[in-house]
Amino acid sequence: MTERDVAVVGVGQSDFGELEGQRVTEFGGRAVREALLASNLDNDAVEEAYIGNVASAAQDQTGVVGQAVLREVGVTGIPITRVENACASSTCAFREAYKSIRSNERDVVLALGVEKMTGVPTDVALKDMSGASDAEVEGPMGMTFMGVYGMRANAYMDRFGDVREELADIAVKNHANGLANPHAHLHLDVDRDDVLESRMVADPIRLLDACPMSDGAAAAVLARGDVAEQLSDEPVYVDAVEASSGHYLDSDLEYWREELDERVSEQAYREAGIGPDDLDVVEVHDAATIGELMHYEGLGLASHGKGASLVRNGDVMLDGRIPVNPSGGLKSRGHPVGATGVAQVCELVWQLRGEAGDRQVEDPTIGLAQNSGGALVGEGGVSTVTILSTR
Amino acid sequence: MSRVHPEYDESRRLVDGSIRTADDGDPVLVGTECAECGFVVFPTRPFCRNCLSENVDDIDLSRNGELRTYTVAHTGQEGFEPPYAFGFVDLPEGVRLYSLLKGWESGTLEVGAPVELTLDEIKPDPKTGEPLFGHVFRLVEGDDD
Repeated sequence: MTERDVAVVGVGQSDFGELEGQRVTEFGGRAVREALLASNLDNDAVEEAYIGNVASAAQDQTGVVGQAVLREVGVTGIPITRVENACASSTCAFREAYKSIRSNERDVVLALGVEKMTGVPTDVALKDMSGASDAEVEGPMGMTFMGVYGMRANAYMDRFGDVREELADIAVKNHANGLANPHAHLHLDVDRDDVLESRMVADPIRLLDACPMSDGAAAAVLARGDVAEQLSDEPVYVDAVEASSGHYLDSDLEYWREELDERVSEQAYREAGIGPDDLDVVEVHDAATIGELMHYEGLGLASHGKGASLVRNGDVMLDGRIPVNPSGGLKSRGHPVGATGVAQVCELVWQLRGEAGDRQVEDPTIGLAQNSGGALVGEGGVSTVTILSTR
Repeated sequence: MSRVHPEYDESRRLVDGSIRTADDGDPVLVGTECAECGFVVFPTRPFCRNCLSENVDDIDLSRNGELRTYTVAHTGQEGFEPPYAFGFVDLPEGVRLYSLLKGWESGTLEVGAPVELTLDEIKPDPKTGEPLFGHVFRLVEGDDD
């Protein structure tokens, strides 16, 4: 243990879903309040805060959404910075918090993600989402975000064969896990046929392959290792937070391959001094089921073309060799875009502390979260990999 | 079958400078080629994305390409009538671009399919309701058609 260690002291999450009548300040404040209480910290102990958020400014709410949320819990008079990076915004906020402690600038920093997506006019909601692609050709010419996943799925199945049933099984698994998550947006009991017979969205992606648009917030308090150890009996150490973007200039990218994940996870494994076989619990960005399947391969849990076998043999089930998305994932927990990354961190912290209730994975010590955002020419805008452990 | 929509009007291009009708009456996509490093980009750019040189020239790109991947959207953006197809097309110059796809029926789209450029309606102008035009690739008709 060195003094450069960083740990998560406590986390908090609001309910995810259609939080009708609730402002971002209300459910955002609730997540931060929970995180501060779980950390045994007074609000004046937070030295800096980073907030992941995508849509607030476009919705004419406020560009200082972080300050507005944190005012509700008396966290004021400190540097507060909004971080926007599509659906990976709050992992990028978490990464900034991590770096400011790693560099010895701060001892206690808050990372927050907050997003209001329902109850706003449809054209505004669609504008929020189409902003995650190229605004010169792709967005104006009709590309949809589920279309990006549809295109990846077709490229994948052209190369490796039909995986529609395994994709449906991923949705079934994540909804089953989400039934045990009280914060989840969609509490649905679905089977494979329900998924395969649901309405087509972007061939072959069907409605039940796709995540919902949600409201919600998630917060994490990070601290220097020795500070965290004073505050908590169970600090969860941050062993790596890595992020990168796509190459875009190469025209030979293969859409069946998560090359961006491969680069980011390789850096993260090296930073943490572990490999994919050491993981006990994983959260991935399953905005669509094909995303989850391809992240298995991008993270090295399976080799190219073999991701579906992890579904077939039960490895990724809650009681399997390497459980993926015990929270229910974006599929069931929901996807308030700017809050998803920190919600993944919340789940890992609860899992690593044995606090995940009926969705608890058996005795995990090392967890990984992968979060994606946006796309250009069909290649990921950002992918992040966070590794947490109780060491 | 004409490759240019009969109502096409240059003032109603969705992406300026990306496409024009050539002397032979057929459409052509316009890109930019770097004289220093040879990098080709679409749509046009004032300097090279790869080596940053300003020594670049606009060039006509190939009309024929290969479909890299595709999907058919059954719910989509306003102004697009589902189901509509789109995908990424690779051109021989090493350019990959997004395009709406036409000339397909259920099950005929496939990775690697040959496609050809047309200049077609993209969507109505949200302000005037008049059609906006741009590049649309269509499947090259097989021998059995």
